[in-house]
Amino acid sequence: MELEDLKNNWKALSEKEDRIEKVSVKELDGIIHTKGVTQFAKIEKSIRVAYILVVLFWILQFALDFFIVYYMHVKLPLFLSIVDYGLAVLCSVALLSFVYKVNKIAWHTIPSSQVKSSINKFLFVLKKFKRSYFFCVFSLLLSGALGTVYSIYESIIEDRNIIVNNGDKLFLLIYIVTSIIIFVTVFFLARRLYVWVFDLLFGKHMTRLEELNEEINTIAQ
Amino acid sequence: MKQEFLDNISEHQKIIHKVCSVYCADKECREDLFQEILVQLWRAYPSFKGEAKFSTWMYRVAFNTAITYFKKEKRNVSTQSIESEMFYISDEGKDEEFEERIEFLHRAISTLSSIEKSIILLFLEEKKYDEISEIMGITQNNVRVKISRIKDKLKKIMNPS
Repeated sequence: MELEDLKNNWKALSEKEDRIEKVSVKELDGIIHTKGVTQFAKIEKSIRVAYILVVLFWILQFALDFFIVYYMHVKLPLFLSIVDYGLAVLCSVALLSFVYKVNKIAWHTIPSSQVKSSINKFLFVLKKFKRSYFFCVFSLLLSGALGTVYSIYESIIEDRNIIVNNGDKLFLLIYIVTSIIIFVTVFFLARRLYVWVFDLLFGKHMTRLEELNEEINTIAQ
Repeated sequence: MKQEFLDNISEHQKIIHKVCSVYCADKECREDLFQEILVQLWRAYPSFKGEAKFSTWMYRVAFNTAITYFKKEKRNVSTQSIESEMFYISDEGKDEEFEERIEFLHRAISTLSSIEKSIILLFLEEKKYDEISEIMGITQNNVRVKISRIKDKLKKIMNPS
């Protein structure tokens, strides 16, 4: 079969389609109100999930602070609270504004852009989100680390009397080990969150978009 | 605005059906993709300012949706069943020769990548290079070269010896 046949087959298919009943306006009206399942819709949803996860993680961070202050009786200095809560607010607002912008601007313009430009914009939005998200998780890690290191420092000062007076080295050891475990847990939770969000929620989308981007760039060369 | 949109879509809905038939081999996939494209068209409609032809704009949205469409991912959402006969092409008037030709057409096109599919569809629809270029966002020269390569690729598939 030759290419001309391919064209003829296509024409024949088109002619046959012309004779078949179209989807009615009423049905079209019903369809436009359903939810989408494309990359656009899935990524939109994933960004919201990622945002909620950050908020949940901040709540966990505050719970940890609360535990340190009220149960371990370590007074967190004002600067640490400002860093902690300031970063939380800053990150939440930054991510929220990102989600808002994506919802209001990007998803309305990306699908109707030229195919090459659409893929580029799509990748750009994801990479920007990745950077913002990393900043957010990194801030979380930083404030968590600061809180933990400070509580260790405080405990050493507090326990110095105990060591000097009672020689209770076991207590100090347990305390330091617990603090290190908290620090490591916070570090790994933050890292896992970041890796999980981007591998699970965005990994395949990024891979697919990067492949498409590479293909269309190869054509354009 | 909604009525204007629906009227426009109703008039040009062949475009969506053609994109669906290039990207999907089975009826279920075509129905789902049709729905996806329509949802995206409706969402993107406020951005349509009339700078390009409505059909050109439709092709853009349809291709952008189709090339990023993952068939395997979408099982948990409710989809609206489409009752019209548009999706029953292969069951209508069983013409064996016609069926064979269509199957061959789909087989040949299915070997192409997502982007190649969109270019070949526009070529089969006898769109001019400048319009293909406007839809795809690549130069007319690139379009010409790519079409030539796709033709070679299809020739090899159609005449393997």
